[in-house]
Amino acid sequence: MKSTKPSAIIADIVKYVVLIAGALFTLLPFVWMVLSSLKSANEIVQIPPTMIPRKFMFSNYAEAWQEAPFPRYFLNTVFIATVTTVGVLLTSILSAFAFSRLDFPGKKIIFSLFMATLMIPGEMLLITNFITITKLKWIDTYKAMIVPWLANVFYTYLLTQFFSSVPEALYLAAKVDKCSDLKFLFKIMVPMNKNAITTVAILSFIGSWNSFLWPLLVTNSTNMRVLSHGLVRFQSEAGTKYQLVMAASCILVVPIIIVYLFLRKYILEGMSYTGVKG
Amino acid sequence: MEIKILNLTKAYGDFKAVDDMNLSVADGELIGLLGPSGCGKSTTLFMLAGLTEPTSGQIFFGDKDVTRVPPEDREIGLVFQNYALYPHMTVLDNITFPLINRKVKKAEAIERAQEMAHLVQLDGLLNRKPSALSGGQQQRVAIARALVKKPQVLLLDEPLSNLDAKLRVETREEIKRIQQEVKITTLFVTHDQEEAMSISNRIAVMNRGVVQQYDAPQAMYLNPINSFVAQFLGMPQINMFEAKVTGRGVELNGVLLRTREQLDAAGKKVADGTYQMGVRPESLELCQDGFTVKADSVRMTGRDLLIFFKIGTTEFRALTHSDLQLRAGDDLCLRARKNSLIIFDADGSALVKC
Ligand SMILES: Nc1ncnc2c1ncn2[C@@H]1O[C@H](COP(=O)(O)OP(=O)(O)O)[C@@H](O)[C@H]1O
Ligand SMILES: [Mg+2]
Repeated sequence: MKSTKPSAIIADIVKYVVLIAGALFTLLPFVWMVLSSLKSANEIVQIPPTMIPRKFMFSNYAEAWQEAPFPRYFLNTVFIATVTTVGVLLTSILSAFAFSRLDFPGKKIIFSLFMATLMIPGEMLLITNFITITKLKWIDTYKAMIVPWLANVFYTYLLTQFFSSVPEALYLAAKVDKCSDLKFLFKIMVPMNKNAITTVAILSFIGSWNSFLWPLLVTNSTNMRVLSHGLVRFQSEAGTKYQLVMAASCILVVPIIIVYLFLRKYILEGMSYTGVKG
Repeated sequence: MEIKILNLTKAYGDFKAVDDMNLSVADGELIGLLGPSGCGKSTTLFMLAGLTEPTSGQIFFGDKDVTRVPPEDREIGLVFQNYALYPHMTVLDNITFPLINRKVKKAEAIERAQEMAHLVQLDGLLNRKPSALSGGQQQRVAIARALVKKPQVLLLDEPLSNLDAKLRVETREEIKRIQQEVKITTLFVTHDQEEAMSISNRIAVMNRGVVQQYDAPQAMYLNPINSFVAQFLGMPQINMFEAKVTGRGVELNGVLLRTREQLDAAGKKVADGTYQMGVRPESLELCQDGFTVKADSVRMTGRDLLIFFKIGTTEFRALTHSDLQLRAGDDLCLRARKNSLIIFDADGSALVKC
């Protein structure tokens, strides 16, 4: 039954005001980015700044698009993000299955070592990875941008936890039903955890899409650069063309939003039913 | 399919979950595997299914030693306590799953699944997801999935424990009906003695990994082999008490339950001393010439009246018809019906019934 006490109503009002304020607050930088992308070169550096552009400069988008070889960057980024995501999903799913369901010698130790690597800051790995890539003579190749990201401890850990919560009885039932381990994994485990797996896919895709430092380190030629590098193009000795940076940023973020909207229902879909009652 | 279990043992370290079990099951029998939680029932069932590897011993299905045969080749159907349905598949896909894995053609698989669904009365629900079914219906899906591959042996692990009381009774009759229709050798695990007694041809009572007694329900109820079985079967529980055997007979706090002649007539010489004894509540009957006690409390259970009383300090329960007019504090005269007093040895095994 819904309470109608005045105190409850006030509590509700406070709750929603706080929530709306929070939502606006997180949305603000995004709105600012979109609005700034439509300002003229003069208006954007004007003090005090304006909120709404005096004149909507849609031409900024065309200009930004031509400033750098964005189509090429776009293809590179999509390719790298897609391959990385598919690859990391495959390795994470397989290893999570091994950690959650299979018995093999040294399982606990290997898993602990895995977890321990989470403690190492990414910046430290950057250097060792760079040395490795150089020795392999992979500089300026797609391999260099993809292979180091094909295994991810955090995703493996996450999926291991999800897979472990699938009741053992389902695995045993499948065994009696003449279902091999691999078949069980892809016919039962993966579909049952499609929400978790989708989340991992989105995280991986966004991470790859936004990556800047590593691709910059391991590539030299313009042809191998990615979208995030395009943003740097608007900086010159004459200053930064902020309106173009903003316009390019808007272009960059659109595919991510599309991917998110597309997969949203999997993320939000209830993950409560696990196949076992009681 | 006959089943033979020979010296079957499963040890986890020093702990024996199943200890030297011997059991044989005739073709088409329904066997109840009964015991308290943790006594090794599921372990036994999983060894029969091939999901748990025995530490030692053998299992025969017919003439074939299946001890090392993997589960998918044992021709068994297994129903889990929590049904273990695949939640993302429809009922139809759940039931056809074992067939598709066995390379049965899709059309034939669907036809057989429909037959099975009809047998377990699931017609019309085939396109639902398990989450859209009631507990009882999920249970039937699990049974259909277990039976669809036409197994030789059906194994059920506490299949009714998640259902409410009324549904539990209905579903156990349903299981019995299906079992008789398919004529399949069945092992049915439960911790509910009434459930086991009502549908089993024979019951194996287990305690701490050891089979205590293996017999038909009635025989076991009337002639429990030891005090554990006597106490495990029957609700309300058998009255257990310590009483003396003397020259006069069986005495408890001045009440003579049996004369020496009655005791000796049972056929076994019982030496004088103190013994553990048991008498079932329904074996205590009202009479004119018995011992007189005072009812401490009276509880109406519907069909019966349960009377609580004491002999000395030992508490007893007696069951009588519910039409008896009796209130707490009233006196009543009782006796233990002939051949209903069980005397147990020091190690708990039944010595004599008189
Ligand atoms: N994998 C295992 N490792 C150690 N002990 C186990 C394992 N599986 C079961 N046991 C123990 O064996 C005993 C019997 O278990 P089980 O057969 O599941 O009992 P139940 O009769 O309730 O089905 C229990 O005491 C349980 O703790
Ligand atoms: Mg069990």
